[in-house]
Amino acid sequence: MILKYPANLLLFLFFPLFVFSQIDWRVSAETGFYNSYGDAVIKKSGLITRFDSFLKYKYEQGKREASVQFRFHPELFGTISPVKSAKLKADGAYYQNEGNLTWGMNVTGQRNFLNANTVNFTYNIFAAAVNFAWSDIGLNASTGYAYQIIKERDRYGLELLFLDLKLLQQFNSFIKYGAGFYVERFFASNEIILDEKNENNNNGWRTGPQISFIYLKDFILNVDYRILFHESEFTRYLSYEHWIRIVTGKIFFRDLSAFLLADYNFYRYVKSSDYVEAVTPLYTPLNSENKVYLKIAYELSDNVEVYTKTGYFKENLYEDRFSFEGWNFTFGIEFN
Amino acid sequence: MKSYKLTAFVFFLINFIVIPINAQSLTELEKKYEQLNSHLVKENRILDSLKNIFLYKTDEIDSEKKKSDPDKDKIVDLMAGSITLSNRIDEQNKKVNLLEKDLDIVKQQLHKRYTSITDSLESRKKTIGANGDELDAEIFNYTEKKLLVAPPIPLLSFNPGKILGIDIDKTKDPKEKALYEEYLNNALKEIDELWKNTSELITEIDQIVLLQKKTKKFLEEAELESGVIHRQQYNIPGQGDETRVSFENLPIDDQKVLGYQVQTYRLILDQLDFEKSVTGLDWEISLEENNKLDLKEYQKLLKEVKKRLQELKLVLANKTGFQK
Repeated sequence: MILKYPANLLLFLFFPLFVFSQIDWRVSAETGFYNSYGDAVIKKSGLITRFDSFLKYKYEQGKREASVQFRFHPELFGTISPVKSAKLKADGAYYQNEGNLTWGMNVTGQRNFLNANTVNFTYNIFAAAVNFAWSDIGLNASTGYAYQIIKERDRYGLELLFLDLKLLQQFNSFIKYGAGFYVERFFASNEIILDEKNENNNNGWRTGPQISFIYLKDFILNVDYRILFHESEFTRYLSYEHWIRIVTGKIFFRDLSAFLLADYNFYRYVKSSDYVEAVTPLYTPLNSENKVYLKIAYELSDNVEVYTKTGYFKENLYEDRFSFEGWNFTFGIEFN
Repeated sequence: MKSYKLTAFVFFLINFIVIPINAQSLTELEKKYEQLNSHLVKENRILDSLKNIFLYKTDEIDSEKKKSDPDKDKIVDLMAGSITLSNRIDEQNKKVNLLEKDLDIVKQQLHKRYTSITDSLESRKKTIGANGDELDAEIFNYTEKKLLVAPPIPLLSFNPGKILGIDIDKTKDPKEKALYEEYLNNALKEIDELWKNTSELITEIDQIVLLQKKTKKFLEEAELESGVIHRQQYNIPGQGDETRVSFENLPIDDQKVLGYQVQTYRLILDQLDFEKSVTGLDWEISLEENNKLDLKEYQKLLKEVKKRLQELKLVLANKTGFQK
């Protein structure tokens, strides 16, 4: 019957029933003070101005879901000849639910630019992953490929293949806990200019257990901990890193909310005898930022929110060679 | 004339063949229910006695251990016996759980069948008018059976559909008027309490969903510069997003409580849906399918229940207001 009416067939194919699409967007602007130390690149203190824009398109059809999202996040440090930074991020995801299994893939690309009088560098990240979640046994598995490239005068690259397994169990209606294992094969490389262009490589493994705890009812508390052991051509036993994250938040009187994030990264590398300082590439985690970040927000209406952010941060971009540390306090407004 | 006879014959044949088939399958279902029930009682007894023996053995081990000169061989023997017993208890538990599940399914099937029988008897009673004593007895019989297999949850104790039919102004008998008055007031109280409970639950779930949404946004903001790999798992719909509750992973008591809660509200919605206006809307939260509950779907269901309770509250308040 449908074949007799090709137009109907086309409609059926391209506009099937139960299709739901949604556009989510928000823009925000914030300003405040910062105080930083540790690296000459950034001005030590002054006014910080940030903008953020976010756009997401989500398409749902029955048990399938696809989404794309974009983010643009420019920052200015100082007022006269400010240090400029911009972060551009794009995400694409597809997920499908089949009974107890939800599987899908997502691709993320991020380009960071930092521009000052003396320094001009870019920092690019790319990740592609396939994810599986079996809800009946609470097993989440994620595997994929990622790379980061930092370019200034020299070039630092890191490629990796990873497998992340986590078993999450429900203790009661509001508490979940989990444990898992993370395995990563990495390929670190650099091109540094000494007397001439010099290329170096270091390949290795990062493996280790992870645990997590989630409470979600009248407030949220999420704690994650991971310890990873390193094995590479230029590191010896016992090289390792710790990562702990605590996220907590509460909504007061429906309009007022407070959220706190604390990230702590620590790594200790025992270097081999043939390691050459500032030449041999070592693994630098993609997520190496230590921070304590507090956001208090008040919703003026369904579409307008004012907020304050207070935070301590320390970024180690590459073996502490590009790092900056400090405090900031900003006040902002968001529209969505 | 011939066609009249033919129709009568077909009608007779249908009554003769189809109705006994239905009756037979209902009988079979009832028989199955009886069998499963007695089987469950028997298996529960076995489970209880196994547990008692296990307790006795563990007490024996403890008392042997406490002795000044404990017999190690005896302790080892007793412990080996306890392990076997513990395995048997686990197996027996599984057996009992399976039987309970089967029994629940049969109960649901019977509940549906009794409901449709009582409904058709009610409508037959309406069509034949006053001569309905026998039907009344039959309705009572099936209603009683229905209550026996009804889920053990607090449903509305009255038929909301009937409330619409009550018109106190038309009632002249003062006794009947007083009865209706009491009936309506009790119904209003019950609805009001249920409405309050539903509202509280909605507030609780709203809070969880909002908290989840805001946390996700906060993490996205905070992690813009880092944590690319760690974010991967947050992206799985319903995973990083903790709004999906899994009953299977919950301790058994919680599973039942939450499962019944969802079932209660679904049944209340069915009861409130006396004009069948929401038929077609998918309120099946696929509990039977894979024991999962999406909190957002539950939120939607509760909001619909609240809306309907509010409507009923208005009707009742109106009707009780008339009599004063």
